[in-house]
Amino acid sequence: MEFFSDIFANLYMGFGVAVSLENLLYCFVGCLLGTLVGVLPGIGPVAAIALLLPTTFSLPPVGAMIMLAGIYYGASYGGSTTAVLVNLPGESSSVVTCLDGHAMAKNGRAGHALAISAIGSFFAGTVCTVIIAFAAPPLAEVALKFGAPEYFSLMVFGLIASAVLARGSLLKALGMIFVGLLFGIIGTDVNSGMSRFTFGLPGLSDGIGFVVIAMAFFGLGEIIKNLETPDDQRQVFTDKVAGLMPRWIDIKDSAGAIVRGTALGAFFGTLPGTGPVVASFSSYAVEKKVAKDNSQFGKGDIRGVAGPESANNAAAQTAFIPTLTLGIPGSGVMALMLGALMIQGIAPGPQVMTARPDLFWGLIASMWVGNLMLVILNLPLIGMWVQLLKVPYRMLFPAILLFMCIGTYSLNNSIQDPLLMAFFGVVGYAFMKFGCEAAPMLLGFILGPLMEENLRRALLISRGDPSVFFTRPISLAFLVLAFASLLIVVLPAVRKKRDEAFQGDE
Amino acid sequence: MGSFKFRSNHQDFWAGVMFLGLGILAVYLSKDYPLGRAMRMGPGYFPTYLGWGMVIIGAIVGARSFFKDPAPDEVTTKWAVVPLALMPASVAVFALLIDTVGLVIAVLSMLILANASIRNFRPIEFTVNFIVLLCIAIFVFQKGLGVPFNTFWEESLGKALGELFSLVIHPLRLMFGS
Repeated sequence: MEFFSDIFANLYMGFGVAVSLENLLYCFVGCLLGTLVGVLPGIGPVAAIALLLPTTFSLPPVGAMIMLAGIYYGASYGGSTTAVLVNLPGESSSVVTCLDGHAMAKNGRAGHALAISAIGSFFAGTVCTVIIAFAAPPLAEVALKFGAPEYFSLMVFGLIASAVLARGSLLKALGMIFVGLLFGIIGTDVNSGMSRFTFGLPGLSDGIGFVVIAMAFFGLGEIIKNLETPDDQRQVFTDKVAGLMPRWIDIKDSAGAIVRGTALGAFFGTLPGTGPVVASFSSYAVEKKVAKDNSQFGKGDIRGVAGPESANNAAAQTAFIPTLTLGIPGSGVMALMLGALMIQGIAPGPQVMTARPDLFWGLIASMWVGNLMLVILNLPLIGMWVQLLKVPYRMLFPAILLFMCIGTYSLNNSIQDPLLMAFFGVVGYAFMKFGCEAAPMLLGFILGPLMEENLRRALLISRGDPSVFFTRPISLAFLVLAFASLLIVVLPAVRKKRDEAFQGDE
Repeated sequence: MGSFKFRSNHQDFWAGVMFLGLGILAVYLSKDYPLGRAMRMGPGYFPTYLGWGMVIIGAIVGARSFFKDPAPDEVTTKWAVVPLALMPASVAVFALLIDTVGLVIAVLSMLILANASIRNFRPIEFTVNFIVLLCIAIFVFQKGLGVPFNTFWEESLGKALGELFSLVIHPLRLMFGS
């Protein structure tokens, strides 16, 4: 009983933080800006957060995290709007929404698709807020007992799992993790004070900012890729969106899908790796299997929107669990969130909950507030987003470019960061061309210095004996898990299933 | 299928080359950093092993491309050469101009370069875009968020010219003794 009353006391405190006028404002601005950027075709949540991150630097830590969370939800929600209306998924987790969502839009039911997606997301968000409140404290308690070997093994597991769950070739994803780890340790080595891989450039001695890397790979690289197709070939669905009020029959039809999607999403979100993507794909597959009459899937079945959208949002939310309690990000977005915490001077990890309870519980409470705000905000504002979608890409991309320039410049008020971004944008485009995903790279980039530090500490404790990773039970468990997830992919039978899940079924 | 053959259109070959190259570079550069021992890792320890890991991964990824035809989604597609050159260039131009001639000219130059990748240039759209973006840059970022931009060259150009003078013109004059 004490456990429950603690949770409620904490949630109560969290809501006290979240509904303060100031934080409500940050949450609102975050949701609004996030949706605004997320709606733009070709910008996923990672690019959106990287673009908007510099605007939060001047805020206090709690306000900054709340605003960032708002940006994240807004961007995801905006991405779904674009998926339904334009058939252009801004992120891989909206790919599934395109299938039935856009089909519904073509049938003149865009409003219904958007409404059910909002309701499903809100339901998923509410459930997952409660899940986080209950799951995070015990997990953080366990994590407090972790030493350096456990952390190192946990990171190995996290990185390998993210490679396993990434789309495409496992080896290439592993390669990208190594690239990220390598980029991550550029700069001054904290232990010896030695400059590594700086090529004599003084500006590199503090390392490359993660915002620079994220904008280069997810922003600049994307723009170049989008410009491969001439502008006039793009089609925007601009019919009037009607029927935004959800109909009772729609809710009744999709209630099951929403609940199943939420459960799937909540589970996949906690796993490291690209949680929302796997969650939305598997939810779609499940709905198709469960439905008595699945002939309408792909042609505008509302369950094909409700399930994946709920799963998407649920996973987006539970992804905060490993990030906040262990300090290990599960996805590119979470890696950015961790980076933002570090910029605010907060060392991510299990101690955050006890050292900064206002931040932790305020953030959790504001997740729910943010979800509510999105429902209230988006349904009336949908007309405005549609107007925004009419802006052609040839006018949009210069704007995105400029905001990236200003954003990177403002990190240190130095021209070095935009120049670095220009360089890494080319690198990012090249990797994209060779079929290498950028998300595992970003994870490796954030974890690189942490991993080296924990490896160093672990080997120092054990006097250089690497068996320390295998003799401590928790560490061994993570390594076994990592090895098992590798095996799973390599085994041909499962591999086929994994490919199928990612192909979706058009 | 199956035979040993160089397939230049295979994404994996090039991905392998990238990993291999970066790995070799990492190992090579790490030679200057003390390796240390496992118990006391030096600054070269972690990057050296990372580099070797990348070499192995790159070699496997690249080698496999010799034995398997690429799947349809593994074929390298045409590079967007023009945007690839212009987009980073426009960012670089913005960066190089912002501290000297100020926001207005930096934004204008950046937009000109960015728009050069579009086939049909539309003057009206361009002007509207320029004015709107400049207003956002000034009122949101410069005034609102306090990013220290110069609107025009103000004192910065004088400073830049002064630096140019002391770095280039002054030594030249001394050299040629005028």
